[in-house]
Amino acid sequence: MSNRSKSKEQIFKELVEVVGVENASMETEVLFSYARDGMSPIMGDFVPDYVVRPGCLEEAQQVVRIAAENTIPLQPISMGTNFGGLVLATGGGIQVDMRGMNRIIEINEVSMAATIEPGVTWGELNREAKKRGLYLDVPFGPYTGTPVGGWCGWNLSGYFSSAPPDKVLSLEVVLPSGEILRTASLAYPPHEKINPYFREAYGPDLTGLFRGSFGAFGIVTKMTVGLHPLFETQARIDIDFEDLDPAVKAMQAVARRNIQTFLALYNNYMMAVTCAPDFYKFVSDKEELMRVFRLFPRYLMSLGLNGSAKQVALYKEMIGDIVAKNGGSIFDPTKLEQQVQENMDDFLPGAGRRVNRFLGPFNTHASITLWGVGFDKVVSATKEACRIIEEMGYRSEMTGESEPTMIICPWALHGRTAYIELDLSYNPEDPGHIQKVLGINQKTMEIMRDKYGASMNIYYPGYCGPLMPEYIKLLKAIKKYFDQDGIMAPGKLIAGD
Amino acid sequence: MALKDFKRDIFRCDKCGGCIIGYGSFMPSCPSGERFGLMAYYARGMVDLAYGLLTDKINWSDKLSNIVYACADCKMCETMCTENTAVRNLDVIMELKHEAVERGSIPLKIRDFLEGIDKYGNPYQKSRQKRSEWAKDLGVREYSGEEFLFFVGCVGSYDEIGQRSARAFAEVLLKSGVSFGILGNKEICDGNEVSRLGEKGLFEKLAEKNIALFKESGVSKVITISPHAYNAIKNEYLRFGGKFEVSHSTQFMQDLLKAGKIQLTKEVKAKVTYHDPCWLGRRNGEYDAPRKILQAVPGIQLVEMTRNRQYSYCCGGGGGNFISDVLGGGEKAPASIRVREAVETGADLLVVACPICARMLEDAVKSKDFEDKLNIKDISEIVRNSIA
Repeated sequence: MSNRSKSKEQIFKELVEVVGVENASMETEVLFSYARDGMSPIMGDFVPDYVVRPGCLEEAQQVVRIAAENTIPLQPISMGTNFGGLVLATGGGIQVDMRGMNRIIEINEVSMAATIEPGVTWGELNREAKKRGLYLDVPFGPYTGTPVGGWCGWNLSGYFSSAPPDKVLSLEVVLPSGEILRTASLAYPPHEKINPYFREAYGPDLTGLFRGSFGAFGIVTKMTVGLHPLFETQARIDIDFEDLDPAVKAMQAVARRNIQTFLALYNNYMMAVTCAPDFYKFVSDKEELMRVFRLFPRYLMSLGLNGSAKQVALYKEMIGDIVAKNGGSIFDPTKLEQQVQENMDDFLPGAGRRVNRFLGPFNTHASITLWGVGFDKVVSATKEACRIIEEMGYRSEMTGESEPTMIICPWALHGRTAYIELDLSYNPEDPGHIQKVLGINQKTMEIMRDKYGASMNIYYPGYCGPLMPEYIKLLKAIKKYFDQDGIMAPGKLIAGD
Repeated sequence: MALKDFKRDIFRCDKCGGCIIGYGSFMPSCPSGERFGLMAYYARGMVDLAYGLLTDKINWSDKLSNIVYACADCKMCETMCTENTAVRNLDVIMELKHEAVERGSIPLKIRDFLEGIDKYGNPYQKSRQKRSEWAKDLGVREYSGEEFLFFVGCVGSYDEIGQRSARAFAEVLLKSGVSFGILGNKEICDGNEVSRLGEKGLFEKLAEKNIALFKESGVSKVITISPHAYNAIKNEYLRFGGKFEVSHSTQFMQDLLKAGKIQLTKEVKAKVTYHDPCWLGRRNGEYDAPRKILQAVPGIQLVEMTRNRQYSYCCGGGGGNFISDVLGGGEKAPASIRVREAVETGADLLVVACPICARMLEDAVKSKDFEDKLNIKDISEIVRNSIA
């Protein structure tokens, strides 16, 4: 796609003039270090032609202008912690490493919002927010992911919590033309300093347009996100269920009351692998594996509370009633060994250190992710998905059984719908096993989509097959409007663009 | 071992970024990554380079060697990674270094470092006869069967800043009345950095020489001011038949305090912060002895940097960098980052327990004109100054 009137070396020279010689490279070895992400065992490697690391908006803008003038693909990356191949330079071109822009520009305690650059991670923002009596609604994922990548690239959410999934308030984006777009109240220039916090400003929700866009519409250089107040008392309650049905009913009942800061249900496999005291021993010693499994109940529901002492006491009472009504019992983690307790404290509230352990010994991810399932269908969908997985011959490397690690949690305010995740893992060294597991994944998700209304949170070209033609037409038109030459993250949002 | 023996680890890196951002502090954690910024200089990038080599997608090159040898070997990446993924990313990097040595494809500065040790017994390429000059006029005896061998190490022997640490600790030992001696000019490099730079053959030679010398001399207990030497003698010499009781100077001083052999009575009025050396802290689990010592010194107020204990940010001296200077200087140099972090605590003194850290951080203080804000002191100097 490159404009061949300029040589690669000439273009590189222009890029170096923008970002500086230390922040640019076209050396094979450096480029190869960007060629892979969590999806590479399936997708392969994609080596960019250049890598640049802009340090500010102006540099990012100039990089985009060079790309636009020369019709060179652009692929932004922040921390790159994704399992979708989303940061791979599948079109070649310029890998734009946004970690050079990593400031927390502001945390406003009154408006409960933070303005951040793309290189800021979940962990860092949450740490800074907590210093100011606020907290960030973090998703299930490592602390090293970024809000910009997670919320704009992937359309993630802090989907555990009682708050609306979408915390993005306003954005600053460098469009593929090199122009800058600011959305929401940030669109009015004087508001940059005094009020970038109002998402619903000035009509249609342009901020929402960039959510789940895979970076295909532009490079986000600044984002304002909503935070939550941290009150005097926090608590975590863990609840033990023997069966899935009462556990899900209890979860729905809690979610409806909208009192939790996080809420999720895990099977014992998930708890064991993420909270095992010694991970190496767990994955290599069957006896240790079984010992740790037995520490946890069949299903564990965990939720967080935040409020005054009176509020939290009242919430606990409410939850106690729900638990009793649904046949659960309060699980006491203090009976467990110290390291297990610490691991639970790390894992359960989200954005933890050990969360990627759910990927198992293969450390790969072909998870069945079912979004937006009605609570009345969660149990039957989960059970049927597990049955399909078993019948198609999936066996966990860890346990030898077919049941994968599992997480179920409410999605959207009051638990209007639910999210179900069943984590399959493939041997990255065995192409045959990769194909087998992908086949199981694809088949199961198709059945779940058609029978239970399970959706995806993103338009994923590889999966989202027969959508409405009008929808695809509109998506293509929007993409064309922003990106006439198709240089921005080509092929990510629209297959074959 | 060969790179193919790490295939499992190489294929399983899922690019989670734990090697880039440290847990707990949520601050950058990789010296070479922060210095150069591009993904290749982090563990995940180096693991990808290993993947490229293993799958014949890239070839060995000078650039690749330069990238790999930028790693300061601080183990922060593996500390963050293995708990999460059971991927031994640092072992992969070490194997890359070993392979670079086998291919003769190591950077010139690293080659000089290794040759210096091979020829002179030290990386400074200074005369062996000058090794014990630091001890001049101190009244330190040459080892001849005393209870403890004080193994000084190359930096403590030859480097001006390191010599301050060596003298201070020797004075502490003398004041304590403990029976000890030094090898003097017979001492040679412990070899820890040699091993970590991939030169396994030379390390074996050094280890065997040291073990033979120790045994001939009747050494069973060793104290050292160098966490690198501490690691080599305590952990690595075992496989060559060298089993010794080894203490780091901080552990030994803590024992002296507990036994009443030294009393810290003179006030050292200062606000101090302590830098955990990688080879003492993260690699050998010793975080408390230095802190307990500092808390026992009258007048000291101890404050912690954000990145402390297992999350301590490396000074950048490891991996031979204290001589080879692969990481270079400037704002993004690890030592510069670290001294800025120390200054932010408001401390007057940045206390260290490793001669390499002392040199790296002292140079950073000077290059940033921070002398009026921050001084570097070895913990032995603090203790010596506080003994009645």
